[in-house]
Amino acid sequence: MLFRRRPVRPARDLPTKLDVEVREEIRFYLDMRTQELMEAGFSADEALRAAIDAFGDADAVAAECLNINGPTKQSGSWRESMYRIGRDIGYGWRISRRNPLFTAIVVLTLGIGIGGNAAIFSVVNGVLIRPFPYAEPERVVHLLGTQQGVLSRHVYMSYPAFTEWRDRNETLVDVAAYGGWGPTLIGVGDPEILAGASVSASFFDILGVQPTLGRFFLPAEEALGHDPVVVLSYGFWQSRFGGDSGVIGRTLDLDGRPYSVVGVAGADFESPLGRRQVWGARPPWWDETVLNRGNRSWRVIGRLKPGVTLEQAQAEMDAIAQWMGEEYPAFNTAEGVRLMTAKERMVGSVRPAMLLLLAAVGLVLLIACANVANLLLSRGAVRQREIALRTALGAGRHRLLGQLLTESLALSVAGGALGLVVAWLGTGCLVALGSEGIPRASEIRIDATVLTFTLGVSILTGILFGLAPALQTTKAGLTDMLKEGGRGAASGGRGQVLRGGLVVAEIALSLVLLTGAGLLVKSFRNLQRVDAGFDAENVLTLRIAPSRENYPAHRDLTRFYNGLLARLEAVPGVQAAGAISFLPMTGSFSCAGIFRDDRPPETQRDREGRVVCAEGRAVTVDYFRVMGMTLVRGRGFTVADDSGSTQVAVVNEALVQQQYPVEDPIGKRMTANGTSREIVGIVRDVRQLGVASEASMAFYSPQAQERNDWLRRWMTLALRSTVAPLSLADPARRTIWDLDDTIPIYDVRTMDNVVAESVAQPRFRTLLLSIFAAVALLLASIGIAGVMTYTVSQRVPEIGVRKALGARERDITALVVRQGMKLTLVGVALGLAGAFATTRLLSSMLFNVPATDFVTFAGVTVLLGAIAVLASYLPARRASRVDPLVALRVE
Amino acid sequence: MGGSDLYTGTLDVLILRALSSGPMHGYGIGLWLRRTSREIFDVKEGVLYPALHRLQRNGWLAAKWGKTETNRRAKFYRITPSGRKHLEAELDRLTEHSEAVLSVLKATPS
Repeated sequence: MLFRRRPVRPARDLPTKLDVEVREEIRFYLDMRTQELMEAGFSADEALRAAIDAFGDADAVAAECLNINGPTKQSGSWRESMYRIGRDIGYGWRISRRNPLFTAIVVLTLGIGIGGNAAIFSVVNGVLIRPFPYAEPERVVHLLGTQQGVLSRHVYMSYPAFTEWRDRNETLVDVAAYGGWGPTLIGVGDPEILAGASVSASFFDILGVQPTLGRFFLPAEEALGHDPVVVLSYGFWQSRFGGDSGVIGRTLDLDGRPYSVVGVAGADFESPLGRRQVWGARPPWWDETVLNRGNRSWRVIGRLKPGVTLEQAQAEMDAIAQWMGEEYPAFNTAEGVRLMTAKERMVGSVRPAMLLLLAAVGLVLLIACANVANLLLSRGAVRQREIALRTALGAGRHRLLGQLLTESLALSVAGGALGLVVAWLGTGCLVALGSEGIPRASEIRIDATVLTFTLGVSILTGILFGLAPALQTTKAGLTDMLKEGGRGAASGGRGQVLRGGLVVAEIALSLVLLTGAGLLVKSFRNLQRVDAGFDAENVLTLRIAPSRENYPAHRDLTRFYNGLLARLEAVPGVQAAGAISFLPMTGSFSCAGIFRDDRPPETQRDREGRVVCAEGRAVTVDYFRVMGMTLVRGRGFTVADDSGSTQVAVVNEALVQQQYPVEDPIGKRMTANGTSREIVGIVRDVRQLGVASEASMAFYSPQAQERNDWLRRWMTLALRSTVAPLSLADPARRTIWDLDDTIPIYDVRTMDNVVAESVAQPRFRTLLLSIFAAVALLLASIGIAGVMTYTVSQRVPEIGVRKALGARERDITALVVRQGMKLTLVGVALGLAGAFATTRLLSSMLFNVPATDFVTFAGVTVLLGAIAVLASYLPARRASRVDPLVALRVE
Repeated sequence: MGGSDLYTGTLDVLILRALSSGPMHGYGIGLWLRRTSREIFDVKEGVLYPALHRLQRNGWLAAKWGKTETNRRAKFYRITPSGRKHLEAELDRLTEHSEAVLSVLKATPS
């Protein structure tokens, strides 16, 4: 023990003469003492060992002496504090080396707790906190279309509407329209569909970003008839062109047209549409068919003028909406614009879930703190003699408190370091798990902010779990120690209350977490049980993009799809084959203006615009059969519904309810996208946008009849199979490429998979919260078991007396379990109150489950109760086996 | 902290008492304490040194390095005048205290 370890060194710059002198004194003492013992007959070795043993911890003694003579004892200068902290850490290190198991458990518990927090925080930081890499990002706003002042899910605009908002407002610097674009890149190898966006020329200027190479678009480049130009993403430029700066001016063959590359976006550019590879200036051949009022698929973004607030700009938008409503009463009734910052638009929907998870993992850390505090209390009892010694050596209470807190902090910072490793692994898992559900997932990383957060949390944690035990431990004076038979205050009445309180808190917090997790799990099960209106099982889906070059005319495309579907149906294992323009659950839809032909709009202007909109989808003849959709009335489509026959439509029940609440719609005519169609059938509602959103009005048109090229050309094939759906992927690919090997095939997935991905966000938060709740439950049960074990060890003599007086093992077990249950009951009561108060925060994330669902509350209470009984039963069993004779001898 | 004050105080008084008959080094004081007070305090012997340093800092002891009979370098402590005054005051207080305790102990519980 003595000087065998590295001696305590004062911090540099401090006089070390004193240190040397103190050590010389102590060495002299020990030499003399050893000699004395040798004279008494001990061997040299034995004598030295006995002398050292009698002396005690020489390092601690030396440290105290130095402290007493400390150069600036009263000044509390920075240097002196550092000096003292350094010594405390050194001392704590030696103590912890003597208790490796204790240290390991504490650091591991804290590592998991802090690591979980750091991991979730790194997600929150990347998604919610990190500013968008735009110039003055808070000035970038989305213009979202509203109906009757309400933000519906159909927030995109038609091109004419976009130009009106752009030209009329005074508060925005500029406004740009943009939309998804998936051009086929034709070059070497299989044709590839690129993730792109077509944008107004001012798009990049509005975001205020700089190109890595070349330039962004010029105003003239979006003009009709201009040569087409593109900007590449940094990643695409790197992977396709190896970062060659000679790419500027080269041409890409997209959809069979030559596009000149004018620039490369920055590496950190975050597109409002998510990851993109190319941006094209508004394609110059677009004409009335794409830019009419019926195609409401344009996203609109703008930049606030300097000095203009969001509220001022919103007020102007409202005024313009009112003015337009008065100017064109029939056209623009109740259509307005809601401004939303770019960040809010992208991450607003996930913010509640993220903050919920952060709060939940915070609770887990609190529970971990309670456990560690309990451990420290137990150890405080063990260290009581050491504390007494140090008190005897003249250490004041403040000094001891400082010492104990420094030790706690050292433990928590070690936990934090382990936590960073946990966070590093955890962040990777989180991104892998939630990439489909998390916007800006690429921004998630451990950066300076996360490191600072982790350090801060570690320090806070150290104080949190260290303070109460330290106060408790140092409160005990020698007389208390003697009074309590050497057990020390930490085991005494007040220590017992503190332990009990910690366990009660752990149980209460765990119950809150369990309740939240239980509610989310139940909600998620409800989500999975929703009748989405189709049968996803045994369906393979693939998207294809036949080019305009190979199939220029309407009839070419019809012939292609008819032929392809017939061939696919001949593939062994394929029961039926169909195609649709917008597959359900993929987040894609188009909204078309509709009106009943028997209620004709009054003005011509109204005919191109519309008041209500319905989702329009083109489908092939067998699509309904492939997807197992139910025909409620009328008929589905047949091969006879082609461009030569009457335009027909099948509508969903939602449309019937809103447009034909009384009369039978079959045989009635309605106009959609400027085309009048006869309604021939009604199908059950399909949840197009996700299982949780009710279906809105929708109509289906036969693909052979549909006039909009963009609805009927790029379709998703759906194959109902009698075998495992994915096994059809290769035969299906071969069949398509046998017909035309220039057709890109992408997004090959089972329909089950599509549905699963659509609930990625709820699954992510449900899974995480369940994990947190499980960890909390584990920590709480360890806490209960720990406290009960300790209590039992303190009550051994009492138990012995009881047994001597005739108590049976069963009685003793019951006695201990009862004590555990008392704590559990208090914790459960507090936890239930807390859960009632907090689960309403979950309301927006719950699907068909009330925030105070009785079954969930009852279920988690029973579960927690059962685990608490089990956790106190094990120590109770041990207590019941106490031998009364042995027990009585302990006193 | 009353208990530990009493305890610390006791050790201080014992050291001052040991030195009242002449200068000694730490080992000598320890030896004297062990021989005269017989296990009065059941703590490690190292306790002695911080106490010595504290007393020195309070001005009750003075110390200087010297040679022992066996010609070893050692730090010798001696009591200062203010140390003597403190010793007397403490002895008075302790006597008073023990008399009070003894009178309580001798009283017959009713």
